[in-house]
Amino acid sequence: MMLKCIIVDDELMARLSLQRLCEQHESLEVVAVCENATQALTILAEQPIDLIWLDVEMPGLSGFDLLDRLPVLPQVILTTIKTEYAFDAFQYQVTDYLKKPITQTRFKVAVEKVMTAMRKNEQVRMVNDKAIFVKNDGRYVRVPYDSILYVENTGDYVKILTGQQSFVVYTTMKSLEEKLGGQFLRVHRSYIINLDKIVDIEETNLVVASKVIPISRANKPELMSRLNLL
Amino acid sequence: MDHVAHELRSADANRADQSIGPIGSSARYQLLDIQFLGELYGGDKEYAGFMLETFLDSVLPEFALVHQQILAQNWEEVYPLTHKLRPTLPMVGLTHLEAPLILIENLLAEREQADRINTVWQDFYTTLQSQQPLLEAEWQRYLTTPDL
Repeated sequence: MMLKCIIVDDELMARLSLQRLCEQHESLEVVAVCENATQALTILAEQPIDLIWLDVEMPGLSGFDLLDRLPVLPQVILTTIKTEYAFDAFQYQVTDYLKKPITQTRFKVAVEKVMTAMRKNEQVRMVNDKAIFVKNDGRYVRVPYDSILYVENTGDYVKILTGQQSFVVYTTMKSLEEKLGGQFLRVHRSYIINLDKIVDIEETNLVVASKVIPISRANKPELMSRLNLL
Repeated sequence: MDHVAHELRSADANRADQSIGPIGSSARYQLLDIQFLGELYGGDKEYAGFMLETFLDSVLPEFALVHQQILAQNWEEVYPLTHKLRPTLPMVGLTHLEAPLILIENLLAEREQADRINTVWQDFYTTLQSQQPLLEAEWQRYLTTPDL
């Protein structure tokens, strides 16, 4: 795993030292070295970054100001000469908190923490990419995406239908549509279908398994654009 | 303040010892925190030397800026500068000189005792300047001594 990282610090020797330590580490790639938080925000808006080495006290925006401006936090390691920021660091759920100057041993420990956190996130992502967990009779049941035929709106609830089972869930179609993602499409206000399960399509409806599902006029162009038509 | 004065006296005593004759290896480094330099740079003397050059060429002039701001009593400017520069001292082995800067930061936070800040700073800055030749000499020895 190669992690893209940036270094943000207003002090020259701190920047040089961290850059050197990162460049010597086989799993880190330094994308940018920034003298202030504003420069860092520009970099973060341009490309995905896995890890920020972030000083806290800097002229202009502080390290915490920078974190407040990010919609999604990457892994963050705070670097500071004060220990007083430990509580704030905890609040921001940063991966580690290093006192400057940073020794080689402490640097390696911090990187290992980041790698562990990244591996955990990746495992969660892989699980969530393949299935959804649905509450059924007081427990969560794993429902693989591939097994879902379609989802039907039944008022306050939605019904998820697989080949063998159906699950009634208290949620909205919009929320479920966002969770399901890629291979699913809302074709009608009451139906989300698994595109891989379509048997045939007519002018105003389609068939999934043996169920005839209406297609709304507004959703049809999106449906047709997602299919491999001859 | 007393601590800085003690360091200055210690450095002067070391210079005197060197003029008298050879001294043991354990006493050869009066300024440098050799153990911490080892933790920072491992055995990479080339890189350690590069960091010392950076300190001498780029960071030391910034201490002169702090000096000017203190003389002008621009306290708002002093804090961010001392805060920024403080960790550079242990990076060149001068861990003992962090204490007066911590004291100055604390005094600045209390927004009082301008006279005390002045005194502590003058003592620190004089020490830093006067110890520069010894700093460079000890670094020369550190960089050329194997297994350190």
